[in-house]
Amino acid sequence: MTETTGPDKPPTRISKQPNETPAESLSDAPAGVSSDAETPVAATTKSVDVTSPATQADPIQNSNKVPDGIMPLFLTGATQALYKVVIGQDVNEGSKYKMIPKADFLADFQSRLAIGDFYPAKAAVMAYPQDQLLLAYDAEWQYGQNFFLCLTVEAKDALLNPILAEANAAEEPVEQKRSGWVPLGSDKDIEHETVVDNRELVTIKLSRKRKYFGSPCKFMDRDAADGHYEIRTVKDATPEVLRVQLSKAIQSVPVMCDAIMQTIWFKPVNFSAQYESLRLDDAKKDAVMRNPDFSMAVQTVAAKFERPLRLNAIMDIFRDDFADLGEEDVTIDQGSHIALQEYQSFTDLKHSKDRSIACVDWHPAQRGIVAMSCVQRSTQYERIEVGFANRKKALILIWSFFDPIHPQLMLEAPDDILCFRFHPQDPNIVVGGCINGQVVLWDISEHHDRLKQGRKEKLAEVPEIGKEAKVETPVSRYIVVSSIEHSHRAPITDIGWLQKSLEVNKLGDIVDPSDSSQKQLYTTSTDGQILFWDLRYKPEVKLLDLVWRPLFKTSIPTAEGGLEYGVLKISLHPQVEKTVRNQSEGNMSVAAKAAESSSAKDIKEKDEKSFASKFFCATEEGDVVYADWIPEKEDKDGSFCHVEFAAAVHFAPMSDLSRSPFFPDIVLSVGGWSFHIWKEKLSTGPLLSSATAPCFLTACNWSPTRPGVFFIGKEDGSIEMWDLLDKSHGPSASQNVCSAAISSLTIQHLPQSTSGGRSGAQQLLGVGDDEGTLHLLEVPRALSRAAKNEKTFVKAYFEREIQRLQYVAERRIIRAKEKGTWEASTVKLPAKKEELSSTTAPSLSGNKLGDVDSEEREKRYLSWVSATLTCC
Amino acid sequence: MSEVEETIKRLSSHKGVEGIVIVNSEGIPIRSTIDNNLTIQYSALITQLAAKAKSVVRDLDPQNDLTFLRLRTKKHEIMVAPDKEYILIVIQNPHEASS
Repeated sequence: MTETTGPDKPPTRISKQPNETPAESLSDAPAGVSSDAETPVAATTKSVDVTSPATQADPIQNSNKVPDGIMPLFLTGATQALYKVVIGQDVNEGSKYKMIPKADFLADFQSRLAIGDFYPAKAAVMAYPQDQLLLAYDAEWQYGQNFFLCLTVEAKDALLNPILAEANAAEEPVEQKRSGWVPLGSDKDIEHETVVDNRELVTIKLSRKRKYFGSPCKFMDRDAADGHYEIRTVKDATPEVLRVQLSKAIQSVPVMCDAIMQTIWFKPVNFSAQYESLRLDDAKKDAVMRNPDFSMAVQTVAAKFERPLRLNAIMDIFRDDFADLGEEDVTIDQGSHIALQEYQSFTDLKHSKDRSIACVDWHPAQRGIVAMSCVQRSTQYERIEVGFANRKKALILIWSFFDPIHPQLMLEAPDDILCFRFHPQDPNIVVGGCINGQVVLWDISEHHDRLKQGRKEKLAEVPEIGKEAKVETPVSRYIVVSSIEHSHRAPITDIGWLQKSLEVNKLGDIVDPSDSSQKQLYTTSTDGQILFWDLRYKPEVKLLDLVWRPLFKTSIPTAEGGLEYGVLKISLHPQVEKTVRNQSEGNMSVAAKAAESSSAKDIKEKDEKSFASKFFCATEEGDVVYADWIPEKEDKDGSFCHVEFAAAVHFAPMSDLSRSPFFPDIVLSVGGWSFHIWKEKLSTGPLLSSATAPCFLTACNWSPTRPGVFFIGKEDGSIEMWDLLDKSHGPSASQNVCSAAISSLTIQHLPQSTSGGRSGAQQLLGVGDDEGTLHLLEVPRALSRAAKNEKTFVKAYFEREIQRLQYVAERRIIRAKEKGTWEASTVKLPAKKEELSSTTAPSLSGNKLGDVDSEEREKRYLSWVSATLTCC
Repeated sequence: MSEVEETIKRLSSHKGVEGIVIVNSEGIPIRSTIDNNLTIQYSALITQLAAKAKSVVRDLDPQNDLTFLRLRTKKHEIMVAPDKEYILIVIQNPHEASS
């Protein structure tokens, strides 16, 4: 850098500093070497400036523009000394600014006027607002002079304040002027392309020994391959290079599974649901049955049944022992007074007063309904005398327990009904035997609902007090009467329905019933006839009216003594219902069966059935007749019963027959002053005969629950209760029920009712008396509840009696023999044959007292005694 | 065939026995001592019941099997003995039997 310096010479431009970047230096490249270029330029400018220091620096002269408010001034040395701005002393490059008060300038102006150095700035100084002006030493002759004056406040501030910036700003304007080329990024490319040493160049000094200088050189060829050395990579089998980082991809996806399933499609059907009943035809059935496997299987399986079947026969395993236990206590108090309690009594003032209750029957289905028939207490002659007109209507009154005042229903009959029965299966049919010998039939189905009413309805019917009670009792008329010519010729005394399992055909043979509805009934009357009737005589019941004929007629044949029997009551054998029936046999009568086959089974069946045709009769004559209605084969007539035996034991017309419900072959016959118990097939005599009572015995009935108990009704209106296990010589209890004679006795056992009301079993004794009142008596528990083994005891009792009779009979034979021998030995008289072993013929037809001597008389007396012995 | 008849007669001779029905595995009656309608009813219904009872027994214990079934009702006792191919049904009235 070269400078031409002089004391007043304007300084040359300052060249760039050495710490400048190469870029800066390059920017001045067009200027070449900076110092060299500078000089001529500076020289030119200087030449202009030297001429006039006082003139204002022209902008052209100076490349630096003078800012506004600054006036460059040349100050002489004298001025400098005056204002104390001597260069080198007061001001220098470091401190270039000096504040000169305005007053000094003003003084200067006055003293020196135009020759003063500050004269050109007079106007501005005058106008200067402040008191002090800034005078700055311009060392570089920046504005063309060696000093400059700030004429404005702004210039002063600008100079004073950014003093620091001015130090740097001194260089920068230089650079800014220089750089005319603005780099736009291509410098980076160039920079990138240039090869720059990033390290110092390595200097290698090669030297040769001096002695070898100038020696000849040897050159040889060599293969290029020899000249280079390869450094091969060693492939190590076990590289020790560990892979630190492993790149692996994992995807968590569910494993897919593909599966197929097929369900069996079927509709669930009950395998044994049948749309129509499946059957095998007979051929297939036979084939199956012939199969030996089948029979084997059946036999093995059937063995399993033996035990339970037998066990069931031994005892009922489901029987409630606890409930039965209570009965034991009841029989303990034997000594307690057993009395019949009056439960209710029915009488109708209008219809049943002064009439005798001939028959009482219970409604078979409906609880609490009882019917009674009222008959006049007059003999036949009296009736004829009275005539038809004045007689009261013959009625059967039907009572309900809940209404003792008004009968529920009245059945009208043509004449007095001596006996009647409800149909056991269809209670709407009532059949009755009239006093004129006709059979009368009623159908009360229209009143069925009335009878069905319970207590509540009955109570509701009771009218209020104050209103007149006008309860109308409906009267039902009979629908059928039998034909007069074919009915009985005397009053019908007994009527009854045949059992379910019994049917009689026209010939009187017993046949298997075609259906289980009872359609046949029997009637007996004092004319000795027994008639069997069938409801199916005509297709409809209503058509039977006046044309009804009996199906089969039979009559008790006259006794040997010319006695005609008037049957009062009969008692049929209650046949055992169940027999193993082969349907293929059909409705063959017993006789035909007997004729066809003679196998043991058939005979046994025949025996059973023939048993059923035998019956007991209670006759007017006082005889108990045991007869068989099936006519003998040799008897072509077929109209007479075959009498097995008759016993004249009652000395008056008999009144009642009752068969024991527990022992079907035990019959109780009541008549006259005594009663007797008979066993079927035992013709030697009754099992038990009672002592004669003081009055007539009029009615009898076995207890339906206790095998050894029966009730006897007497003429004095009392009831005797007999208990064979208690004492058999007299009644266990006797109770007076009413003042009139008892005309009928019937008993009903009501089991435990399931619906409301009574909870326990009830046994009711229906007693009809001669005054038209029906008394209902409740049998006490002592008499109605059976003990556990009572049946066996009573059976044993009867067995004993049978044995006694047999013994007696045997003894009599022995004694007769003895007597005969004794007679023969002592008195030579013809021994009378005594038919003592069997009393087939009626032995009582009056004492045959003929002309015989005393021995004969004695013998006859003995025979008479023995005859009576058989009865007692 | 006669053994079958004998067996049936022997079973019927017990007290209170009311009827016997022999049914094959399909529920079709083969031999019966009661009337036809009742037979068909019994065979169809009892076959179902016996099958159900058998399945119950076997479900509870697969080694077990039904040998005998007794159904006690108010009026009767129905006894059922199933075989491999046939079922034998006996109806008894125990009240009549034990009285």
